[in-house]
Amino acid sequence: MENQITEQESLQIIRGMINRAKINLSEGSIFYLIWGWAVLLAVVAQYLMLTIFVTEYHWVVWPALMTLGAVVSILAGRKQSKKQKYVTFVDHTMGFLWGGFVIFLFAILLLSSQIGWVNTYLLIIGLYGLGTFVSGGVLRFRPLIIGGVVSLILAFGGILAHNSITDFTQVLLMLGASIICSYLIPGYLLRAKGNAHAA
Amino acid sequence: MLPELDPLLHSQLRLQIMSLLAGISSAEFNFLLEETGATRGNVSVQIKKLSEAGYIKVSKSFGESYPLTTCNITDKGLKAFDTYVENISKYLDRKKE
Repeated sequence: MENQITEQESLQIIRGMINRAKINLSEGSIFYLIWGWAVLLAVVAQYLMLTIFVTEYHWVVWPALMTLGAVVSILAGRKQSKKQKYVTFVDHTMGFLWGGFVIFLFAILLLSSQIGWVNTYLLIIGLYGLGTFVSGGVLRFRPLIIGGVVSLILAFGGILAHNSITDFTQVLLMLGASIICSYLIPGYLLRAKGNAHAA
Repeated sequence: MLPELDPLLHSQLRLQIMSLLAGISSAEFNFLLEETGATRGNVSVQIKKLSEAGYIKVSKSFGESYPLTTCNITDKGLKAFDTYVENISKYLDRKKE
């Protein structure tokens, strides 16, 4: 049976129902933290393997930690999608953004043998910056926007000062700074904001 | 003369469902059930009507071990919803005069 409604009631229904789905900032922050820590650990490990332990297998940490990051991300994503019974337009946009990010990341890695690892890392720093800059804009979260700008400046500065980069460890430190500024700090701030909203 | 209100949307439960879907990309059946507070059977019937009119798209898949029904509003549905909201505003403006 259908309930007959007045125009006033219609308006109340629309107001009451629209935008009922909330964006969960706290749960969204987990991916910045997973990837922030995975990349930072890889940077530190590779740096130590290049400077202290000196081994030609210094690159091994990357596939190992990136695989671990992917597995943890998939598990976290599954857990979230089980809890959340809807997909917001923000979730939808983020899916496309980070999907495109991964595709382009592989394209850069494929090119690495031709452009060298210094250029590869600089492009990756720029890509990190682009990802967080756009997601900061979508979430209207300033620390992510600032983090994105920092990474973009690092990438741009690195490209301009390309000839001054004499050692691979320099670009590795730039990548470390990029991940702290654009993933870890905004990730923790986003989680704190999400928790404050939920309280 | 005031425009005619879309009879498909001028119903409490269908309007609730359309309002919920208008603000998001997609929603599971259980979300619509929880938010509207209606019975499973009633929500199913109204979803079928909206789907037949082309206002929403219903997709069925499998979750962990249970069937999952997901709904999302179509372009046609969004246009109809916008027109409905516009017409409702006209009705209410006329009442104020």
